Amino acid sequence: MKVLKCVKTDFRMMKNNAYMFGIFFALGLFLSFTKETLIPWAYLYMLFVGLVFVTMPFFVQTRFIAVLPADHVHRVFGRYLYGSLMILLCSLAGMLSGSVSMLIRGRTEWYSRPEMFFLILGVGLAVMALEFLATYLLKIKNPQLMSIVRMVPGFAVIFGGSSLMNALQQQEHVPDFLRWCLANTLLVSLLALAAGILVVLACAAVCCAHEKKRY
Amino acid sequence: MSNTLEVSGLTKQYRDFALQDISFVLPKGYIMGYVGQNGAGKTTTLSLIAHLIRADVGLCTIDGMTYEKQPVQYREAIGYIGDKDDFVPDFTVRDVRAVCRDFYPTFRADEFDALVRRWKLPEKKKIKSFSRGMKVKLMFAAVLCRDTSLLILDEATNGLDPVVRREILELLQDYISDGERSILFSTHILSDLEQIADYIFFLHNGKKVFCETKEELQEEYLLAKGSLPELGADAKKCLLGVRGTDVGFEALIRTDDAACLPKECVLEKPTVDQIVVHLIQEMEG
Repeated sequence: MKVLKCVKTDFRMMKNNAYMFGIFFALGLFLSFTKETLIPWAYLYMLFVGLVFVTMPFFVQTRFIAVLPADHVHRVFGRYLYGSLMILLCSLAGMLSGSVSMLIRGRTEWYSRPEMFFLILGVGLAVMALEFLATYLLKIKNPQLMSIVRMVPGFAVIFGGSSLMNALQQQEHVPDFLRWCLANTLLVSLLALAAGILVVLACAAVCCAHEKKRY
Repeated sequence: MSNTLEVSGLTKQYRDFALQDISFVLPKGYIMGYVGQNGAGKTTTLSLIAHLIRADVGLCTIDGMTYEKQPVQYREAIGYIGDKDDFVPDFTVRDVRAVCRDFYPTFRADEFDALVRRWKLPEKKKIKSFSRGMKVKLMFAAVLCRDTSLLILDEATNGLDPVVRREILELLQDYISDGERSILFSTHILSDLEQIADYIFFLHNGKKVFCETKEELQEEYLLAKGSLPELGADAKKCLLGVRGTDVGFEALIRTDDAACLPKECVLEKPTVDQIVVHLIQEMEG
């Protein structure tokens, strides 16, 4: 129960940024009409937004929150559960905006199927978990450095993902491994999701051990 | 007499500062003033007791509980009010109420609402737009509406106007009136301690100087005033924290040593403020 209360408190700390998500979602929907890659771009864009915003509770946490009666296991797993739900929401938003523009333009590439959702969710969970791990372990005080830690994973995902999409569009340069992945999209996407969940659990366990030492 | 708080051998080493071997007990129903200069280690001690940071060595118990064995109950027993903005800036009074209701099983929302109304705290405004006095009142509302054993105040009355401060001091006296709860109160405003503290713990450069009842302390020292040239060498050695004034000197002297002063010197009962200031002056040389 305490874990869920920690999740609720994290969302409460985020609620004033909810309108920002609305704005980003609308912008993403609008921009997805201008892109050829449609759904992947919409997913990557919303994942970028999610990865930038997801660390916010770390930076607005005050003593009122720090003295709440919850031990380090509740707090860390609560924070990771909150992060996972945020990534899930962003992936759903990405799917929604991409699908709407797909539907309107009458296109049915493979990435309009659920595989893309699982793949992006798995990648998002893994990146979020590593982002949280860095935030817990580094305990950065410098605001500029904090901003970098918040922005780098999002940019890495959007630029890395875009580069991959460009490579896939120029099929002759695609390595064998990626060809195999394209031929087995469901298996690959489910493996990515499972790996993402494992990374979340492993990072949460490491952060728990670290926080136990601190307090 | 049982103790609300027992602190034993608390030590924390930083790169440029060390809190060393702090031990004391705070009996139920009493207020302890925790005093010292800026950087003496007051906030570090209070943070260690609240387990916001971990001690290198030492143990704290609240009503016999340790954080290591009962972290949730230990934290529930503490009401912590700090000197800075403790709330999430974008929170409203409603958010504070909701979080307290979620985490504290003994939180009484109706009492909280009554205090919010009494203090005219706006429910829908963000806390970042509150004045310092309003924030402090909200912090008190959040901790007084639930069952706690120990109130930890870290410079909580700093920056408050005299009317609000008096109101807060009355609340603190109400808080301990049942004889079951205690307050550990760190402040620079020593006149506040003069009014309400039972014990004074004095910390200097991370080390305990004394921990006594206010009465014992005021019996142990006298404030001496007079003219320095009239003093003999032995008398001068007994003076602590000598400060020159327009008409001579002012210093602290142990009551037992007072006999060595000439009759021309005036001896007065010192305030806590005067004891602390002169002792700091003595230690700083």
